[in-house]
Amino acid sequence: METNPMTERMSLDIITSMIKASKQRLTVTDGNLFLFWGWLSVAVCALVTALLLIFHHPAMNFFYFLIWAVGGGYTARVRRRNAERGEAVTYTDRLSDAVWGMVGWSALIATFMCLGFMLFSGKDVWVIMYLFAFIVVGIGAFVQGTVIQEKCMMLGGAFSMIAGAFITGCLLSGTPLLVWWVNPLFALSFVAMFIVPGYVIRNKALRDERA
Amino acid sequence: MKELDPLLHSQLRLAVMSILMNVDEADFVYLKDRTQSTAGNLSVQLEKLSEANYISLTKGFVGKKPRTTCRVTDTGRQAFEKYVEDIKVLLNL
Repeated sequence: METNPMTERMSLDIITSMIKASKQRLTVTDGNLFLFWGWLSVAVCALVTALLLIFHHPAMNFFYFLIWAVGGGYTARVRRRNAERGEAVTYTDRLSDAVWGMVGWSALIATFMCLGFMLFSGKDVWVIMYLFAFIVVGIGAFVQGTVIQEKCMMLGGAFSMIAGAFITGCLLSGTPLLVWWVNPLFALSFVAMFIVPGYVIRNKALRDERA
Repeated sequence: MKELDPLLHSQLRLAVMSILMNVDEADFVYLKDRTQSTAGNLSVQLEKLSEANYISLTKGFVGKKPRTTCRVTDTGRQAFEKYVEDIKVLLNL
């Protein structure tokens, strides 16, 4: 692009074309990131369920940490790669970062809180993490879906929140939370929140790229 | 006859400002890619916009690679909006 003088019409054309070029739509990477978190959560949930059914020991729940460790590492790697390629940050990106930052940090704090209860009072309150996964992550997915205007992600978030409300009801009414139905519900929530929307977003991004 | 802001009435500077008006911030590589300009030319034009306080430049690193991030300032935003208004008047839009 030159720095030569130009006509007013050319100015308008440049403004229009640059706005079009920088109009950030969802990218294939965005869809892949949601898919990664979704499939990772479902895979870890399946692993924990299998281990719990085989060994009948609550310590198997510690394998849930794999979600944060693997997912966090992968997300950091993707971010770094994007930054190296050159990127623009929109207000939507900032809002999304704030939402998932809040979810991530509060999950970490809640984890240590549960660990504290276990170590200092001998009480097993790890069920809080289930409620967290259903309700807080559900809220995150709903907000994310609203921000990017992806209806299926909003529905996924809403489904997870309702599932969280059901689990809370079970806890308050003394209904036992059994591995054989709670863990599949957990996996189903992540399918609804991340996997289905991930494929939808990726397909839309691929279609945009081809257009 | 309305006089257009000479700082904005230049292809590359106007392209940069148009992009920055549309995002919160963008880095040098992104701007170079979208405007299809050379690094040297872009660097000079960014410096001019920065001197006029139309954009702010933040220099940092991604790993070991240097990274310059650009952001439009309030002055730049007002200047751009006025530029668009002036163009509309000139073109009778």
